[in-house]
Amino acid sequence: MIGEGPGYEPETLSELCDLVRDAGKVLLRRNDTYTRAFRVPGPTGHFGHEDDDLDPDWHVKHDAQAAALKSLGYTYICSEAFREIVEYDVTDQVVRVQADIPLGNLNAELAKHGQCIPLCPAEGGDLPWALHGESIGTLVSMNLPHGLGAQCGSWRDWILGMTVVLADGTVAKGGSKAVKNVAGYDVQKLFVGARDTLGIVYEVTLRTFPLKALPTPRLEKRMVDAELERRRKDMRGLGWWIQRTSASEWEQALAVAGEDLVVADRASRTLYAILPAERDLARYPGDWVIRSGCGAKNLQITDPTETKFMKRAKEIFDPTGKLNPGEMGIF
Amino acid sequence: MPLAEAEMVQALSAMLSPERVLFDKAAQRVYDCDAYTVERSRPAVVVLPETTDEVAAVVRWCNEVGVPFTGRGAGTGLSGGALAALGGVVISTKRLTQILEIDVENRCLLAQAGAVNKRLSDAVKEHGLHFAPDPSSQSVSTLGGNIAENAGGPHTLKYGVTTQHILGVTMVDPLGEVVVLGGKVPGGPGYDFVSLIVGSEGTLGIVTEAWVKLTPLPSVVRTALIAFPSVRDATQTVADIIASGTIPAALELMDRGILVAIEAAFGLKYASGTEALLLVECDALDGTEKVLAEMATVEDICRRNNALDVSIAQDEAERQRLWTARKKGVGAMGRLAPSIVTHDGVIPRSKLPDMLDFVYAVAAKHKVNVANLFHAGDGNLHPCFYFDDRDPAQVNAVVEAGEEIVRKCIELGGSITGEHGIGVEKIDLMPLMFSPEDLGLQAMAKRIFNDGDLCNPCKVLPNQKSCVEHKKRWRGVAW
Repeated sequence: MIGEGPGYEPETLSELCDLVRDAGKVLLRRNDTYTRAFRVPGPTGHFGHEDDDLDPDWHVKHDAQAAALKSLGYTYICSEAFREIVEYDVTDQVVRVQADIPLGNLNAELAKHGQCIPLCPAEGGDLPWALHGESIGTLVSMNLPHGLGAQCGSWRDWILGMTVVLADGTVAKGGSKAVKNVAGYDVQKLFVGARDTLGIVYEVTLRTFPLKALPTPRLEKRMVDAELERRRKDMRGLGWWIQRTSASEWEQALAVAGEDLVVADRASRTLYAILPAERDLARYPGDWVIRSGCGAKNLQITDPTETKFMKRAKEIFDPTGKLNPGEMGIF
Repeated sequence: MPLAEAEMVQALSAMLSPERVLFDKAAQRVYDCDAYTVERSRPAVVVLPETTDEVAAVVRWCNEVGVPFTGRGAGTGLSGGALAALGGVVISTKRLTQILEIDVENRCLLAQAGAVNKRLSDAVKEHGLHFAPDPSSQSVSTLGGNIAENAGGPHTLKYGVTTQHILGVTMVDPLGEVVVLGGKVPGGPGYDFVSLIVGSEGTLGIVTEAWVKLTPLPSVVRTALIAFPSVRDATQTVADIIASGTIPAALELMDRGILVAIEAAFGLKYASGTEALLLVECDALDGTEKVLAEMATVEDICRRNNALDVSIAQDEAERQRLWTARKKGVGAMGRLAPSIVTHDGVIPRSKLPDMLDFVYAVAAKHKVNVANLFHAGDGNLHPCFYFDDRDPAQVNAVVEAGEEIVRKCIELGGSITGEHGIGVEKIDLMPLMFSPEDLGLQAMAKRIFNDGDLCNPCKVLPNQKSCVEHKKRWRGVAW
């Protein structure tokens, strides 16, 4: 119901478009229990910290934050209603879904036909890729690494088409539902990992994966359960440090992470550590890091060429900077 | 006032040395089209730079004097992507052929854009690796061209098309600035510009170097060639294999038209009553049993669909023999007619049986000859029309039949091109697949890198400034 609760909850595409078009600034939220701590807080200080779920007064706090957002001129959109599987062609292994559907719900439906989205759907636990409750839209727009990335690829490989709501409220699509398609620019891929700052992901068309061909993740657990449990219980002041390096620096990076290392994904050379927000591990040429719980440090894009083109893209797609301000760290 | 050809030649010769600036009638004629020969447009000058900086210097000069420019690899593209639509300068990458770094540990290599696709795989074979995209043109087509067109190939069914194998690029942008995006370590945060650049048909700049992902060579490969008494049996088999959850490395279909050409060219014989052949390859990094099990599933599905004969290669020589029909099929068609247009469209794989019936019906209606050899596993059709391009009526019939097929692809939920690109060939068909809003979104993406109209104009997006009136000239200038 629009206007009730802490934020706007659009129920139709046209409601969503109207909200975005008329907004001065938009802060978008979907089902994101795990992922929201990875976001970068904008001027409002919203998200980017690991405290929400652990706080018994979370809802009160959330309402207060929403009120604060409103006073700052934000349109706070809590998108939950777009959860449909719009089209599922089992024999062609292609599925089109709305962005709010949780990964777990989608995979449960796909599993009935021996298929899945290969984001470690077999099991999860408390590890960084326990993403079943996260909405597809959140997962696509955050594009966090996962435990089967090296073997099965990731969103950029699975997404065949996408429908987005642009900053002016226009609905546009990229790609198609064909498994192979080179008609026009691959615009849909620009929205993968863009944290809804170029447009809001509304629908995605995905290639599915046969369950029987699903490889086992080859992950080395490096932290004993009790210690992991202890750290996970109180993440206040702590956060994930996810780092991918080239092969040459991999062993060194593992050694540097030392006792804070939780899991090593050798196949993709991605390490997952839990660190205090103020601590940084060593960096290496060409590597990248994504963090949670560290506010502005969660995402730091520093390459000047990348920054230049990202700013240019933002100017073209969202000239007034209304969509999720601050989320990319550089605008 | 457009710059005179002589002035262009003089300026570019001073920049690159005269022997790397081509401008005579023969050069203009050679470079007036790519492998899509229906439309042609002569460039004024062709340049052969040897470094990224030389490419950048040429592009900057083109901007200074307002001359359009078009990048070109081997010219094997099939939609006119390398056509110098408004004349100007063709910037060939044929001298940018070096493999600059092989990094076995990280399974990647850095090569210049003019390096030939197959050479990349040959260079790392001793390490048990290869560059997976394998367009049929791979013995001549270049890395840069593959990137521009997001090239496919038979084995992309399992291994993915070019975009999935490009980690980073060095590109001269449309204003002549050298930009480096992506790199050895994939998947990082930020906007994914590399994915936008791959498949942009050279309209976002000229890629001069790229980091490509190297894939381990499978240790176990089984290849089968299966003969069917009807095309429908073969297409149904493809749909059934995909539906079974088996992902072969390659799944290719050839119909009677191809077989006739192959028999004539190479004397190859197939089981009597064969109307279609299916080539299936299953592979794995390790685990012979897994491959054998996959192949058993495939064979079982084939038999249920009335297969006449199943030949499984026992060794590499036999495997190569089974691949002959697929690899040499289009070449062999040269015997049937002076010209061939290979169309390219995609449909959901489950619709293959009906779609092939439709292709034959369209060919019959327009009285044109058609043969089919295509990436059936991806639903990527390649109806090959063979005809005499000296007869305008035949050319027309081929174009009309092609458009009818493309429209059907869209009707069935597919795409107007699976791997050949839009180029100039399909630019007017884009609105069939995309709404004005969708095309607006693509135009926004283009503007991130190209906000002008000099870098490979008149490609991908319809109705570009100054292209419409020129378009009429491209057709009908066949020599």
